[in-house]
Amino acid sequence: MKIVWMLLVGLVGLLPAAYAQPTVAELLSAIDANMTYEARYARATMEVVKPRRTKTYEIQTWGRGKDDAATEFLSPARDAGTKMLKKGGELWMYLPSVEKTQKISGHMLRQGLMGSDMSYEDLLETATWYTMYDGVVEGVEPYQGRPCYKVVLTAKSDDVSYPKRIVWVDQEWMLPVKQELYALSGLLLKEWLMEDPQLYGERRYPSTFVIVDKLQEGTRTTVTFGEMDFEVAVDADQFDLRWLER
Amino acid sequence: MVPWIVRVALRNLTRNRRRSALTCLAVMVGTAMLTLALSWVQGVIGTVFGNASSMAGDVRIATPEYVLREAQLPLYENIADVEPVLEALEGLDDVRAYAVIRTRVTATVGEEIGEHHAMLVGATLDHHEQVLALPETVAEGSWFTGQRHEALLGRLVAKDLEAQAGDELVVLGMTQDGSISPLKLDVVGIVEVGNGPGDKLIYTTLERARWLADMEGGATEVLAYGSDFRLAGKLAERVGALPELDGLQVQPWLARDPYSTLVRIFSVLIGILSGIIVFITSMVVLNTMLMSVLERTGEIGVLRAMGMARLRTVTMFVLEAMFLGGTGSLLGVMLGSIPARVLELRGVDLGDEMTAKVDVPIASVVHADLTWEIALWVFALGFVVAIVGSALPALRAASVQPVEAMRRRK
Repeated sequence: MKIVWMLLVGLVGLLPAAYAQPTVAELLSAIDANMTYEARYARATMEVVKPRRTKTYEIQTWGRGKDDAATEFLSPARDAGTKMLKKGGELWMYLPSVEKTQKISGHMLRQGLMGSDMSYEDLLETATWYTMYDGVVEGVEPYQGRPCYKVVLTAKSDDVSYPKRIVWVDQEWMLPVKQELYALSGLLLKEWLMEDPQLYGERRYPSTFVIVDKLQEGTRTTVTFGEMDFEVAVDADQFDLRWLER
Repeated sequence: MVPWIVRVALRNLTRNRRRSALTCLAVMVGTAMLTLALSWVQGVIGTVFGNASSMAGDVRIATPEYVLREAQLPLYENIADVEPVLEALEGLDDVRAYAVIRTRVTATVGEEIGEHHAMLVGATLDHHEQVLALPETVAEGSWFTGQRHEALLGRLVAKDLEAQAGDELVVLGMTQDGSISPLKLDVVGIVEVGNGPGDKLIYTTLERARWLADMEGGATEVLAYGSDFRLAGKLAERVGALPELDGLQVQPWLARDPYSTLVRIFSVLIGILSGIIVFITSMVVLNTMLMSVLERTGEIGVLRAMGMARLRTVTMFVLEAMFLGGTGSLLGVMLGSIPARVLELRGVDLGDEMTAKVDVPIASVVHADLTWEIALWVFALGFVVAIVGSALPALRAASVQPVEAMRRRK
């Protein structure tokens, strides 16, 4: 009888924890709240590691919501002045050496941005996860010693770049600190890590992204943000095609 | 002093001049046709494979990873520093070596970019000039003038782009890291290389191609050329033994696809074709000589009845065949050399439409190739077949009783 009582007490004790586990909708909304912004200015370095050489790019970028982003490459010299403009579902690139603007479309979207593990298609994602995916919380699984919710997301429609994502959401930060991105066939395409989150006002945002293309050997792209401002007033002209050639 | 049997054989030839002339004529026509046919076949081989080795190199040196994924032209799998490789190759006798970058690009003349796909080849001007002989093929505009941003367009790519000499060409390629890489080039001239793949290329300098691919000091391939593309296998052995090329893959052109497949198919087809031509020629000569000797079976019987030894009888007919076969073959080779030489100089135009559709560099004008080897080989064939054609029936006739031989005459 004593043992039965002890079990009952234990189960009752666990109930609040079970109820404490958030739903997928709550998790995705929390992630979207952290990762989307009204406006942002950032300077960053992008290090692209390949088996035989490493290239480092310096960029500055302006963002407005999920739809608009403008990026300018500052170095190395051969790429300095290259600009990219994401406007809704379209991506444009200004190539200063030929003084021309190229729309990135079709098969080019699947190529790596400046040869990195991040594709142009990755940049074009405009919808929030909440609207793109259904999912289930599979439980709690630590990642790098921190408790995380392990969430399996399945795309609601077939026009999504990654039909399946397995995401480790940090319980405290509410950030997807690790993601595994899968093809429809179940093939692991990429691993995306978000590290070293910093507080910007009330928002916690990762200061380092690490992307690893699992279809290539020995490659790794690390984007490290040096300066980040979510309170910046971004000029509407920044997201106009004319900005590219300015 | 000429042996009496030789004098008898020579007298026999003049005794029935019409028969001798007809026999000689048959040998002559057969060997003339063979000379022409083999020169043509040799020319076709030279035209197809000579062009292939010019573009592909007698021997190519590349990284094993590049060779493995060659269809995708992986810029990343390049030879990072080609200078030691070039220096080692140029240290060999009779070897010229060139660094080359091939990459796929989209090209445009005008405002919008990324409209037309083409292949860009970057190499030193020496390569374009001495190996591809591009200066001789400039149909519009000029050869490279020495300015930095210059390109020559193959006739077909120029037609596709509606480009002319003097236009500004924008190409969009990739760096070796996979980043979009644009390049602006001045079209200095349009070249008519004379084969489909060559006329679909954009030719620029190695320096510009290196900039496009972000490959300073490197190249995707090093092409080595020896004295004769047919000896590429031996050249590959010499090149492969160089310690500076350790870790790189050395391939003669005929070991590479699509050429290896093409060589196999061509070898079988040409073997069959040559075999048929040689067989027909041999049959014509053989038949003529057989008939010529069989007709004289009675004469053999008479000679044997008069006491001529069997061996001497046969020797006399073989000597006659040697005179007829030798003269006929010599005249045949000379006669066949005339149209062969004309075809060698003028060639036959297959038409641009046909060669443009083939992804192998077949020239639109195919020339015959008359060589001393062919002339000697045809002469020897006519000579030997004539001897065999007369010796066999003579041996047979000399083996039977003279009376029987004389009776067979009827």
